[in-house]
Amino acid sequence: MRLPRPVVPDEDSFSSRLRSPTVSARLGVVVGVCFGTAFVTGLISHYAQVRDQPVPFPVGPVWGYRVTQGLHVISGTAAIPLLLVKLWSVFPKLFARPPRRIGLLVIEAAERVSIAVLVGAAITELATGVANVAQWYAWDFNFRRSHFALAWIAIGAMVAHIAVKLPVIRAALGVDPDADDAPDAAVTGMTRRGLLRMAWAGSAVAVLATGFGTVRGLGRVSVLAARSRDEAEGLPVNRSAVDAGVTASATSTAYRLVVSRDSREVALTREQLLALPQHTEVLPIACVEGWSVDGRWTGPRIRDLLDLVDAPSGSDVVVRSLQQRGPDRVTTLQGNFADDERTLLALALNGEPLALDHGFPARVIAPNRPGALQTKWVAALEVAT
Amino acid sequence: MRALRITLGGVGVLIAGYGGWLLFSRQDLRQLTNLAEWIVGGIVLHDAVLAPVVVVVGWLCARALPVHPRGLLVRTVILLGPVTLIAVPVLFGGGSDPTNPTIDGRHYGHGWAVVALACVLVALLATTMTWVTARHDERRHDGTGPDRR
Repeated sequence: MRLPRPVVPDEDSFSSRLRSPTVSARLGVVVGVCFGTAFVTGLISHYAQVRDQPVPFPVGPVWGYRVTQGLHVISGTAAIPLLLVKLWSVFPKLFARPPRRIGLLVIEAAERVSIAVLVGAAITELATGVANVAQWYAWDFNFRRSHFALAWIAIGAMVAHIAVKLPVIRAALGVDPDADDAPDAAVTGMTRRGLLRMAWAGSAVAVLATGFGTVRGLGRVSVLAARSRDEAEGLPVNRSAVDAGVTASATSTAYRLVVSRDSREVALTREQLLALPQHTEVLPIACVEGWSVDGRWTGPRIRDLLDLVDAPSGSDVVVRSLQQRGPDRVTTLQGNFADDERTLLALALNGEPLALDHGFPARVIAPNRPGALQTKWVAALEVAT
Repeated sequence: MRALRITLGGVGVLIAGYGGWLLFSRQDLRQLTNLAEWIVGGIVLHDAVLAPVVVVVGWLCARALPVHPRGLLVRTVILLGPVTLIAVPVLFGGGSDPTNPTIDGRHYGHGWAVVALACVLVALLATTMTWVTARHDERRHDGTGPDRR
């Protein structure tokens, strides 16, 4: 008895003639631009969070961090529909029969490994990035370190992939997708250009539906955005006072802000902080998760507080929070930020005393800075020496 | 061209190698195992689940549906599918916090329905344009071109 031969699809089993290098290459170029944008803006954010910066992260422009990180999340989001269509367009290649010659086989295996690395890293970056924005932490690994490392892997694998495919890409980009061998729209219902247009539109839909949650006006269009403006405060909150375990210590009458340098130490109550010259600045809280909202902050300048202990200009300041947990319990305010006259120890937001969730009794607010470093519930400013 | 490709390939391998070193030097084995599950899981979910489903559904539609309804369906899938995947964390994830309405605090079911409606409308518009163009071409070729039916 003869068994029927199992049907293993090969590269030619896929019938859609919408697939073509002309389509894949065009999608690939835009995916590459999106990945490159996400990579560069991601590096900016990581550098902003380095404690000892060989080149100081700039204090301005005020909108620098919010724009780059908004762009980071938007470019990643925009890449998702394009990557999915791109992977569809090259899916039959997964079933290509391996070459018989051993030399070619080795090359083919190396290329396939590099593509697996690229696809695996890209999917993981995008999936965990999207989940992280929604604060759905469905993993045990360190997101920040993994996202950073995988970004280098994805970009490296992408550059290698471009090197391998360069002749194909050049040839494909020089040809009209709907020339000669293209499918007839009357038969397939769509041209290749039509397919590309839908991919661009799908990318736009994804960005519009998710990317502008905290942008005034557009926030209503981004119906699937993870973050929103808080109706009362206007500002979203990442870590609430309850989460941080500061409710008791932040509202205690024993609260003092301690400013210290070497053995010199000044302790101030909130009333004494309010008695210092108050300044008001409009500065955004800008999160690496892509959202940002302006606040009108009022409080003494950090520089004025440092003068109480005669801290020399350019001194880095270690900021300690009342919070018991979390990676940002202790942060460093670099000298150029500490000396900037817009950098405040905010006591009020939008004309009202700080709410507990926004950092009562006092929080750091500085221009062009990651939100995670705008330390809330500040307990101490220690001048680093 | 050859020199450029070799240089580019080398640079790519170096960058990825640096990423690999970052990955392995800064987390413990349990974390790396979990990350490996995500990476392999991502490839498997795409290559063995999502892509085959799309291919099979496309193949079935090509046989079962007339050309323009099929075009409408394909366009709707391209527009709505990815954004739906992106919305999975807010639709089904565990990120929301009852004490903090500024995280995942929207009515996402309603939001998705609105997006779906918008996608269907855009797909309908694009399909109608293709249909009109195809009819126009057909009329122009009437009597001279080959009969497509």
